[in-house]
Amino acid sequence: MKILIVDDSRAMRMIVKRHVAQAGFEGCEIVEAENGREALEAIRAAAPDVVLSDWNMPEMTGIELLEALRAEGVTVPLGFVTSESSPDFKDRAFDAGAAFMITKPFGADDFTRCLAPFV
Amino acid sequence: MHVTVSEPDLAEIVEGATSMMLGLDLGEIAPRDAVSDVTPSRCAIGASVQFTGEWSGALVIGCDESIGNEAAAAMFGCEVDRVAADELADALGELANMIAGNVKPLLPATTALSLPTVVQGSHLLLGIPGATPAVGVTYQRGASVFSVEIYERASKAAVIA
Repeated sequence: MKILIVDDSRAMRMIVKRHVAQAGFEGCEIVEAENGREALEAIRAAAPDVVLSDWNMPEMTGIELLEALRAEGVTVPLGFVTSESSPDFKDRAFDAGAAFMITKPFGADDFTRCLAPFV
Repeated sequence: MHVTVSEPDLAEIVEGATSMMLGLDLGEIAPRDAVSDVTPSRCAIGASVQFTGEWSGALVIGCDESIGNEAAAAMFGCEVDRVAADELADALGELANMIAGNVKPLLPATTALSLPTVVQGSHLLLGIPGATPAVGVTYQRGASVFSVEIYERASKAAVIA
C-alpha cells in the first residue's frame, strides 16, 4: 500500500509516519507533500492508495485539496489528520467526501482503525 | 462573548498533546503569581496561533530551549542535542497548532485558525497587541518553564483602532 502524507510541518509528517508504522503498516510505501498543491502533483505522479492530509496548510488547504481531487474525478480515499475537531469542520469534510478524520493528538490505534478498510 | 475555557480544560488539552502524543513531562503546574516574573527571563521560544471570526484571540506558547528541544526531539525521533533551529521552530509551531485546534471547540463562535508563527530569541516577553490574557497554565520542571496562554481581543473595533 502506498500512503501520501500531506502536512506543512515536517515534524508532524514524521509523527504520522511513525504512527502508521506502529499501527501495523510498516511495510507501506510513504510519499510526502508539504501542502495541497504539492499533494495534487504527488497524487498524479505516484497514485497513492490513501491520502492522509492536514487541514490548515499554506498554498492549498486540505479541504481545497479534497475538493480539487473530486472536481477532477479522482476518487483516492483521503482522510484528514488535523487539530480541527469542530463539528462544522467534520461536516464539511465528510460532505466533501473525506474517508475519515483523525484528530490530533492521536494514537496508533486511530490509524489502525482508519487505514484497515483500505489495505 | 468571553472565553469559557477553564484552567483545568486548558491543562487537560496541553497534557494530552504533550504527554500522550510526545511522552513529554512538562512538570507541575505552577501558581500564576509564582511564575509571572520568571517565565519571560527563561523564555527562548514562542509560538502563536490566531483565532479569527466572530470571537477573536490567540493562543501563545512560550518555553525555554530545554523543553522546546525535548518536544522537537520527540517529534523528530532524534536526540535532544541534535535538534536544529528550524526543527525546534517547526515542533513548537505544530504544538501550538495542535493545542489551539483542541481549544477551538471550547471557544465561542470561532471560525478559523491561522497558521502558527514562531519566534526564537532570549528573555522573550510574549504578548498579543490589542488582546488581554484570559486563561493560561504554566508548567515548571526544575529550571524549565512551559506556558500556554489564551488571549482575547475585546472586539473587532478595538483591533482595527
